[in-house]
Amino acid sequence: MAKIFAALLAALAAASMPAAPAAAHTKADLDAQLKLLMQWWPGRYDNNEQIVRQSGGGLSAQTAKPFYRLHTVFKRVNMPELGDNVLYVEEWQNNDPADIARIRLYSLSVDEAEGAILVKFSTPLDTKSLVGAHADLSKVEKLTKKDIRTFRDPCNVYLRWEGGQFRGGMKERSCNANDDKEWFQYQIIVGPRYYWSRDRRFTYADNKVTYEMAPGSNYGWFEQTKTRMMACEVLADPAGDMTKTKKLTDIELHDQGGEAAIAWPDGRDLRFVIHTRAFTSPPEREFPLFRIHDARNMAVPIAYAYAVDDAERYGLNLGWFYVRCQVKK
Amino acid sequence: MRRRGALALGLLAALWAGGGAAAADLHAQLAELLRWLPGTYDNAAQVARQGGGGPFYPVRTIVRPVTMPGIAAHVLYLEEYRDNDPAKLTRVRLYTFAIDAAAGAIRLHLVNPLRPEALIGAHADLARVEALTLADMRVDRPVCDVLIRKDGAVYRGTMTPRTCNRPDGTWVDYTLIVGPDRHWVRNRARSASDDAVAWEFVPGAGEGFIEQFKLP
Repeated sequence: MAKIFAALLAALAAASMPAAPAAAHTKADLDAQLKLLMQWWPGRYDNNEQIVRQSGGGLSAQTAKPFYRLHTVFKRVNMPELGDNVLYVEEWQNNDPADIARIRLYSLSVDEAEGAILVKFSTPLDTKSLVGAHADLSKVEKLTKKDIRTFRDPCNVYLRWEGGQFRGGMKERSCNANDDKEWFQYQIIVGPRYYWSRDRRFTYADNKVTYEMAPGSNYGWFEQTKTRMMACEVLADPAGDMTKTKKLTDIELHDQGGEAAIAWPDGRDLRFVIHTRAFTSPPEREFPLFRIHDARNMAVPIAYAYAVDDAERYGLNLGWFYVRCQVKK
Repeated sequence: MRRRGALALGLLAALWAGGGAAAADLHAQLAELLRWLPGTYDNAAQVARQGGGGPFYPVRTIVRPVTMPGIAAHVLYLEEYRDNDPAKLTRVRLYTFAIDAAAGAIRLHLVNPLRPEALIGAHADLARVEALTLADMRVDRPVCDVLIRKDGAVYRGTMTPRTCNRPDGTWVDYTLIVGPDRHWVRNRARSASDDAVAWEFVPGAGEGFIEQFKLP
């Protein structure tokens, strides 16, 4: 975790410095861009704030339209057969790690002719056996070329350095589908703390949209933010005396809508939730908002509290329930 | 032939549409953009980094808010020159901004003073700008409007492809990126027949932008 935050800090510093990689696309520029991208990209991303915002914010009931909840994990893997810079991608939807949306391998390299970072996609032939492999990369790293299908060149993704972030996608009218009658318009943005993506498919014949990653969004972006992991200690006192709380358990969760279940001594199933509240605040403000719920009512919490921007340590004490959290380094 | 052209335009419009934000988001985004954009920018770091053989020359851009209710509710004055010489103007513009809910974007409309040379240094004396009326300006065509959308951590604006045509038959391929501390521009013209790049604001820049950062 310390490595992640060190890389993040370095990346943020690089993003704010005029000396960041240029868009002039010399080989040296592209090499530096690839290095920076490999620092930025690994991590866990979630679009929980986008769901909160589209639902009306605050304690409004959450809607999954047009955007549904999407959680993506990018982990660097050692797979020399695929190149020097390979990422394992595991993505799930609806806040359910078993509800897999995509499992991919991304091979990144410099493409001087395109003046871009080339991202070559592959997909393992047996994705089911890889569910959860982001936590055990040996399952991924033992795969060989015969275990994967590499996407055709027309489906390559090209990322370019633009305005302090990487932006790109597949070439227009290039990556065909449905017996070459349709093509994908797939685009992504990668920044120091975010990953945005969108995808749709057009017919060649009459330019109709036949598929949208988020139907009804007008080709809107899935806006995912890089998560921070929080380590929390939970204490309790059945009589509600905050001077006598005793440790109950430890929990870990991420801060972009992460949830942890707590089996309470009285038999209740409690849920501790953290997100970074952007709604109704200026967009540049982010601060942890944390809630404790009875699992039977995830809409309205028992209590909630929030901390200052970028807080790394915070707590909530109700007497019978006491939680204190800090960023996991 | 005309039908094919219409079909192509329809396709381009369809491809370019999208990424639209909700109206409430657009109001917040416009407020943020108007907060970010004013300032003085230069690309000195880019010029230094590229060394002697690079394509980029020094470009300084000064953006100031002006009060010109006869033009629009939200107006910025832009004065830009090259080679560190305020007399070597590259652009003098008025930018007006409005929300285009249908496009899900902020619409930047370009207004061009008829006598830009008379405005040299006006960024330091905005009364000279605010005294102008519509009669002193040429309002650009709506097909040359720039549609700006939130794109990651920045705003990214483009003209709709193949619409802002020039007398020589080419079309303007313009991209603007605005962040809290940066103003990046890439401007070029493409051939109507095959989209090949026919002209560049910075010859040899290719996919590169003029990378300007805000001065303190």
